[in-house]
Amino acid sequence: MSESINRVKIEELKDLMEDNFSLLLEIYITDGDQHLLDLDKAINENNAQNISEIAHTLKGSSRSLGADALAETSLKIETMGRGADLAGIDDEVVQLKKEYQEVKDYFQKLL
Amino acid sequence: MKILIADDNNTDRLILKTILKKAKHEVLAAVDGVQAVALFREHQPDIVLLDAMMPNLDGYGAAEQIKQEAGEYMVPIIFLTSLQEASALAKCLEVGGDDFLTKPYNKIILHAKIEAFVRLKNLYNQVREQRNEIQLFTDQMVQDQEVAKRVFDNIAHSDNLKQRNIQHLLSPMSIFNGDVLLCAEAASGSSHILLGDFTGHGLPAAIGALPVAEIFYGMTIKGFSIPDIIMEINSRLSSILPVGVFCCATACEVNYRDNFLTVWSGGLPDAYILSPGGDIIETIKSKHLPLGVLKSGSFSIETDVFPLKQDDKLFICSDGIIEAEAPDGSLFGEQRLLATFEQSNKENNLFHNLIKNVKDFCQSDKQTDDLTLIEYTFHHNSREDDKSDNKGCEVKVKPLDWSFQYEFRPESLRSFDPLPLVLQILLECPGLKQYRGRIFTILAEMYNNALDHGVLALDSGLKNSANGFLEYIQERKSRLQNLESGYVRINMEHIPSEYGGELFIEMEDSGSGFDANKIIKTDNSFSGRGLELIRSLCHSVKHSPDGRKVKAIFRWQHS
Repeated sequence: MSESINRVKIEELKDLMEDNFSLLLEIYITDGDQHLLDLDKAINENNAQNISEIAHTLKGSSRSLGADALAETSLKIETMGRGADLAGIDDEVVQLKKEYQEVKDYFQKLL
Repeated sequence: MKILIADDNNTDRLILKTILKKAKHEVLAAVDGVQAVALFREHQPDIVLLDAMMPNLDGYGAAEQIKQEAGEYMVPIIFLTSLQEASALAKCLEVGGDDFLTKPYNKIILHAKIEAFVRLKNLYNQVREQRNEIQLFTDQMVQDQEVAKRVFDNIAHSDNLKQRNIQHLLSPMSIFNGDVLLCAEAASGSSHILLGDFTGHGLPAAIGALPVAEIFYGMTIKGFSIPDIIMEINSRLSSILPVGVFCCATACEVNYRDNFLTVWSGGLPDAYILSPGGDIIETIKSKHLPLGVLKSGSFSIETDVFPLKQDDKLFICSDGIIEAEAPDGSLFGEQRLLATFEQSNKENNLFHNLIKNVKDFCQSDKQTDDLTLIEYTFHHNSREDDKSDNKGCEVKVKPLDWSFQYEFRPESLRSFDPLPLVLQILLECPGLKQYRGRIFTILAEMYNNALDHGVLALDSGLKNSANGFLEYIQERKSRLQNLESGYVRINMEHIPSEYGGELFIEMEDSGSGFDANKIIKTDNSFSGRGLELIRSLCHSVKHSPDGRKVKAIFRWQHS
């Protein structure tokens, strides 16, 4: 778990955000939970464009918060969605959810 | 700086907002393109940071609308993007983006870019403000010049140029030119013409033209002759113009009574007298320095006199013709001017040929100098009737009851033309102003008879041929120069009447007298016309038995 988070990045953000650091983490988690729900829905509907857009957003915020492994997996899903090539996407989503949960647990400890 | 950011990603937007706020910027945050455009409209931020992919309206669409909204103000737009593909980046530029910033944000690069754009924006707006100031200034200047030009044209280019026997061209390089072209009818019935070319162009050159025009018209209407007018103009210009600014000029009197031309020329190219067929009869060379160069003491008003025949043409131009420049730098020159005379021999359209030739030669409508020329045809009947008899004037003030006497002795006779002086006194009587031309003619005829035939004892028969006339002028000059004794006495009296008044003019000279009746009977050409003319204009004309005194009575009525 700990190697999937960029600690240097986290320290930087603490410095930058100061009092708002917790707020940032809360927003990330709230949005992240929603993204995962939306992602499941899009996969059920086989909506490649929505899959790509949701993964894009999750990738952006994950990268900003130093969740590099999660960002990489998000990128894979975003790319699959953009290419409308959804073969094997279920495995990636399982991986994504696992990584997200690790990040979420880690952030909640920092709150 | 006021910075607008738009990003649908809540965490990214919060991070970016925090970075900018920490750098003391004022931040407006939008969650999509629609909100970004609305915030821009409301707050007019200095810089816009746009995420490319957003719901509702994406960054590309928002950028287009914002650029349109900004108009000529510079508002830098920086795209926030994780897109790596070249095509997406190119699209950012196409819609008006100025730069990119890749996510996740690097604080140092972000600040560096913002600072660079702030500098650029300030510079741009400074240039824009200066441009607007210059534009405003230029507009104001052009407007001022146009107003001034109207005033200038009214003063410097008179309606007299519209007469049928005059063709002229005044073409300025800028709104103003340094050329003056003046034409006026003298009280004596002669025409006065002055073509002047000031050094330089534009306003500085035009300013000197104002006193020239004022003196020219003012003195012409008061009856002064060309030499007196030239003397006065030179004196004024030399006192007001800075060193290096002067006026090349040719000034002429076209005398319709005795058919001759008097010319003073300083600094302009040759003027020409052309026959009706276009052959050159006389080339009139400049003999003097331009006006405004010499002080009065060393300034010469010596004029040349040339006889004129009906339909002879006088041609005067500024150096703009001769110095008209072809694209290869060669000049139009005198030879081409003379060739144009030749070419126009038969066709009688010299004026238009010349303008066309100069234009063709220059191969452009752009002129390199002020181009001014006048072609004046000596034609007895084409001029408008005596305009100097000023109609529609004057309060009916009761004329004064007065008399005066002047005696002019050799020194005065040599150097002084008394007619303007006398005329001015007469015109103090308001009712007489409308008869200015007639009274001037009467005075001039009587005075010239008294001086030429009385005091100087010149034989009027000399004037009968063109050559004789020049001889006469020469002889008159030399006798006047050597005159040691003699006088002309002018007695004038004015008596008001119920309807106007009676003006008594008596002219007496020291000559040996003459038999007026005999002259009128035997001589029906030039020399006799003077007396006939006086008789036709006056109520009565009487000569004393010894022929040394003439007394004329001019009766006038209120208009």
